[in-house]
Amino acid sequence: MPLRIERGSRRHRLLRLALAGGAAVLLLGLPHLLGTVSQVDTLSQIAAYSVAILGLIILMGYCGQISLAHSAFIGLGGYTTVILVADHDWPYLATIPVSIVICLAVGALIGIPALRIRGLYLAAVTLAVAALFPALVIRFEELTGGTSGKFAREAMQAPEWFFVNPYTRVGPSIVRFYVIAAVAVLVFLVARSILRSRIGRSMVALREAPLSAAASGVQVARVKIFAFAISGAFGGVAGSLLAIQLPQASDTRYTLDLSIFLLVALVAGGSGTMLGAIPGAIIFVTLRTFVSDWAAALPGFQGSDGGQIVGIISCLLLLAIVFLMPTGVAGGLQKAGRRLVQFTDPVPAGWRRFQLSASSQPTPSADAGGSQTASSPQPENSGAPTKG
Amino acid sequence: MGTVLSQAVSGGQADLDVVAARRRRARLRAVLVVIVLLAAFSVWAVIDGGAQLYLQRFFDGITNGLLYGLAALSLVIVFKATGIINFAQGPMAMLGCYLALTVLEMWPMPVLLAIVIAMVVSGLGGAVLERVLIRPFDPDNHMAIIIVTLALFLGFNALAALVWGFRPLSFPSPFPQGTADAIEIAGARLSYQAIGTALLVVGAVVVLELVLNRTRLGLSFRCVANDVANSRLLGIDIGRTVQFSWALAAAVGTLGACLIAPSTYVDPGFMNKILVYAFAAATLGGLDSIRGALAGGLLTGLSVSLVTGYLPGVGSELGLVVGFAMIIAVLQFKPAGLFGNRAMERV
Repeated sequence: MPLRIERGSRRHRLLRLALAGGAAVLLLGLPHLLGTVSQVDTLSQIAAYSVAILGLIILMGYCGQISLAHSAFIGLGGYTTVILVADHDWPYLATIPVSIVICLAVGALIGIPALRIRGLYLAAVTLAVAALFPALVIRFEELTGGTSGKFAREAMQAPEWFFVNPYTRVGPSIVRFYVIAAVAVLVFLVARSILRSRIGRSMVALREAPLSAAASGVQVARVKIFAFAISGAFGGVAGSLLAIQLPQASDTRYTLDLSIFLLVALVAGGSGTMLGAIPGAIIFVTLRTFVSDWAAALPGFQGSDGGQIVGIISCLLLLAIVFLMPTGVAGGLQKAGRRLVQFTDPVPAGWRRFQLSASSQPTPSADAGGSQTASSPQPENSGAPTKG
Repeated sequence: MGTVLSQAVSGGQADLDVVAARRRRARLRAVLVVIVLLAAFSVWAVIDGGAQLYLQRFFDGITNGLLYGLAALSLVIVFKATGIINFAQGPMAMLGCYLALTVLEMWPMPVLLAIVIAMVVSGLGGAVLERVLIRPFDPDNHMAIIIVTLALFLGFNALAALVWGFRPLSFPSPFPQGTADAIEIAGARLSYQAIGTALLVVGAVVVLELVLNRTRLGLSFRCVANDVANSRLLGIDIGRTVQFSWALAAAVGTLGACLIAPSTYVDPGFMNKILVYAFAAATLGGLDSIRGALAGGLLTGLSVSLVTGYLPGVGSELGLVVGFAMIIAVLQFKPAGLFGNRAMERV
């Protein structure tokens, strides 16, 4: 028997506060628990990639469109940050708004022709974008550094008042992690607001029933283009964050493979809820670092990066998830969580007026306690004369 | 059953005549616009660089274009039957090409025979793939099917790298490839390989049209492409028909890859770039038209060859940009493509 908690009640608020506090403590404490620089950097990568996957979740999970151009957006963000920092001496954080603006504009430009037409055209167009981004990087060599890549000489510095001592071995990594995590948390909050807004609900309507959505006044093309542009902007932020973690950009870092691996992570993590981005990012980084290292150390793979094994494992993982657990890790966790705690909607105020024989039925615990409505009465026969 | 089916495909005759005529006129106008654009560019190009260079670029464009058309064809076949874009088409064709190469290495035989063997094997492989990985899903669940094709994209690329390595291999041409094996037209070289490839592509398309228009399976394929629900009512086995389309697409894709390979090289990613051109060709021709795919391929090849050859600042490494620009332009101005039939819905 799961524990039932009414939404908006004090217990609900307390629970949410406790969860948010726990997450904050975890984010603040985790880098101090980990000992080495590479572990902290891995954590930073997870935080940055979760922003990228969040962008994909908005587009695929909520709006039902497929994009393969995420690698290009991440690349745009990454190059924006590295170029501004290296050539124009901007502070790292100030480059993030620039990435957002650039990626929003590019996303709208690509989305407008592709999204006014029903079907899979966005997927085809974005595939082309992902394929040509590295070619463009090499073409505009004077700006991007071409095949030799672009580097920023100075890593991000913490301000004087910052509470982490940057003069220890892991200090700089921890500083970077805090910055990346703070931006990521901010982006998650923004995403939450977008998804709860009118336009976010329009996206869900569009995914579930495009025809009914259009009939209800949803501007189909506009909402789709907005979703694509926002998802691109999130990709750009992720690219900037990755550039903060490791201030370099090169054409081989942002290929079509990156997009497809992000989709693997998205599907495995679960695209139905925002929080699926976190298990997704963990899976992504695990595949690209730990599994890759393990595969490269296998006998017979010396000298290669283990990419073949990673590819095959990702393929099998994706197939297994699509067949066995279509809602992903997050969906599975949600289902398990519902066995423990269920949230019920509050009883509408004044429901009594609408029930015909309200006075003859003493409902249990309607006034007592208030927070513990074990069986919430439904005002379902409102106004309808059920029995003559 | 045959007459019932063809009636269902053609529909009520009287009403459709007007619509068909209007459609034909619109199609003609669009093709004319494209041809006028190309002709104008050609005139400028001839004035700019001389007739010989232009003719050479023209031949290159046509040869590449036919191959892009063949690759687009394999996308179109699956799209017509299922309404999805098979993202694994490039890697599937690449595997078929490696297969032909391996067969050649193991048993000495004519190259063409090896290609045919690879086509048959990959056709069977395509059928098995459809049965095992695609059919379990609801055909309307496009998201799941696309994710499966993306998984196959990753898996096949990795598998090829695992078995054959990343080292680029050269693929023998089925036609004489020496420097002397060419005819000269006004100073421009047209190699026997290009001519043979073009003839093979045209032959393959003719065979394909015959299969789709003259056989029972082809009839049910056209019926399913027209309307899935109606086909089911008419007693067509949808699963078998879709399976047939996957097998056909895999075989056509393998043929395309094997014909492209001699002019490039074979490595695990060599078809991915072609895939973009194939998308451009398929979009240009209309995603649901067999002839359109070929015509779109020709136009794509020609445009890429001319634009990268003549426009200053657009080197050959930006061919992908030309393909991309074509996709965008088609979607913007003629979303149904030049030969597309299905009413494209604006939203």
